[in-house]
Amino acid sequence: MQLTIITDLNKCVGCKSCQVSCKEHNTTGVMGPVPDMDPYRDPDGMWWNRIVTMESGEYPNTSVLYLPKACMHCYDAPCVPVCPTGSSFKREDNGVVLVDYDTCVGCQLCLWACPYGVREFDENAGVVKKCTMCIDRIEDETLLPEQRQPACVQSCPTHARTFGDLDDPESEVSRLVAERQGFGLLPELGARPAVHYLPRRPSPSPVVPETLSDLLEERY
Amino acid sequence: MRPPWPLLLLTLLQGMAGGMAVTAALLPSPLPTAVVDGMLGIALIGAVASIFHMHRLQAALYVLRRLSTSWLSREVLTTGLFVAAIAVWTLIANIVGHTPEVVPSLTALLGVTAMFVTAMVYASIPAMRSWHGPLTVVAMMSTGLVSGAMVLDAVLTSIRAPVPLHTLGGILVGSSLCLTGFKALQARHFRTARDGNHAETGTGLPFGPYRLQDTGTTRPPYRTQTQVSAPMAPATRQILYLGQWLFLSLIPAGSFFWALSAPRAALFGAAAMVAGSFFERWLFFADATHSSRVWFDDQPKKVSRVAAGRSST
Repeated sequence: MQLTIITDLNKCVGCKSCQVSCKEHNTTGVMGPVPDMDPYRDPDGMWWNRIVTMESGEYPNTSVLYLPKACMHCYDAPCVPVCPTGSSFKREDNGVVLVDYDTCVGCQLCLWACPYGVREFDENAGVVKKCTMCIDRIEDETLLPEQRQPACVQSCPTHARTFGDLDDPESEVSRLVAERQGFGLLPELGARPAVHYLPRRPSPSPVVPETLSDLLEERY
Repeated sequence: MRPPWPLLLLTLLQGMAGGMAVTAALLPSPLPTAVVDGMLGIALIGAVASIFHMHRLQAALYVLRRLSTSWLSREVLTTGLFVAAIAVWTLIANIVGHTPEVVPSLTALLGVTAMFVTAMVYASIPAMRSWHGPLTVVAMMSTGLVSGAMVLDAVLTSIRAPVPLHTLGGILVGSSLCLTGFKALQARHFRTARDGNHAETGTGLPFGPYRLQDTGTTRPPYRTQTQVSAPMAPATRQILYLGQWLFLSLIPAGSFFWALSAPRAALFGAAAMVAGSFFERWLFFADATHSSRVWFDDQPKKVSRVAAGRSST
């Protein structure tokens, strides 16, 4: 089993509700591992899920992308074998990559080994922390089955995120990845991320400056 | 990235001590006891500095758990053994007086092993595009070997030891030139890593240029992540690389030829070499490119080399 989150980049509108709900869930409750020492004056504190907004292309052929970026829970997670104490580990039963805070020595080598820059160092506790895929929620049997999913998936207003088992060919996430050609980030680094993104649909034909005025006249 | 000072000191001083141990093992006569004590001091400072890089010392008892996969775990073991070997050497030299030949040889072997393993910690991280590859190992080990040999030579010359090392000047100058070559190749590798880090595969958007509008919070790079820092200005980079070349190669090599007529000049050369090594190691960390930089920076559009009529190499 490999639990994963699939994000449809066509549906994501960059509202950051997943970013905020991640912070909200993980700073409260019993665990509360995300430190938030000075939330009103220091907004660059720890975030396990960040929405990167990237613009690409040149006018008039430009495009804006909202990319929710958290731990990719890679099949070949590079952060796991580099850890000298074994505190970074990948669970065999569900594929989630976790950190054992009790044995983490705080050397931060896993921060460098992670190709996606999604691990964060907690200066107060002296340990590295990261997205847990809300393992406390998905294994909480007191919750209703439909509620056993990560906070970022539950809070998405456009249902851009789907949670499931990527190793199960019958699952929704497997179907989406197969049918919509889901892709992982930075595949050239060989980490084999479990988290996939569904690509943007093809944009209309490129507009070149020579035909721009004709097109505008035609449209308006 | 932001250079972590404990690691800078560890890699530099461990390499220097390793270079001294290897050179000492090649010498026909035993080292004076004070020099062995000094070597132990250098290695110990490096080892102690590395402790400051750990933030939870209570978990340090677990650091040998992952010897099978983690180069950092192996580094702790090999560097520990190397420092222990120098300590044994120091004890024998101070208490017994006569050091058996096997002791310097074994220490040199452990030193080279520790240097190799330390270099592999950095060379084996694919996400650190500037470091990933064998050049890191070659350049890091060469820096350690040459700087250690030059420091030992200067010390032996200054205390008028019976076998001054500058009789091996040709070898040292040759090694220094090799180091210059390795560093030039590494600078090229750093540039390739910097230019080859594209946002196409990091975003799925096929057409550049890529402009970062929002990193998710307000201020990149994130305070708690050391692998990415503000990019260095090209002019600053050029000046720093020029300074590295000057201190790491030109001044030490020149002073070595000067030392043939005035032996005290070896001290000047060794001092320049030590300064150059610090320079080199600082740049090694500060100019490194991490793959996650694609989400931290704007990426300029690169013109087609073919269309511009330039060489493709």
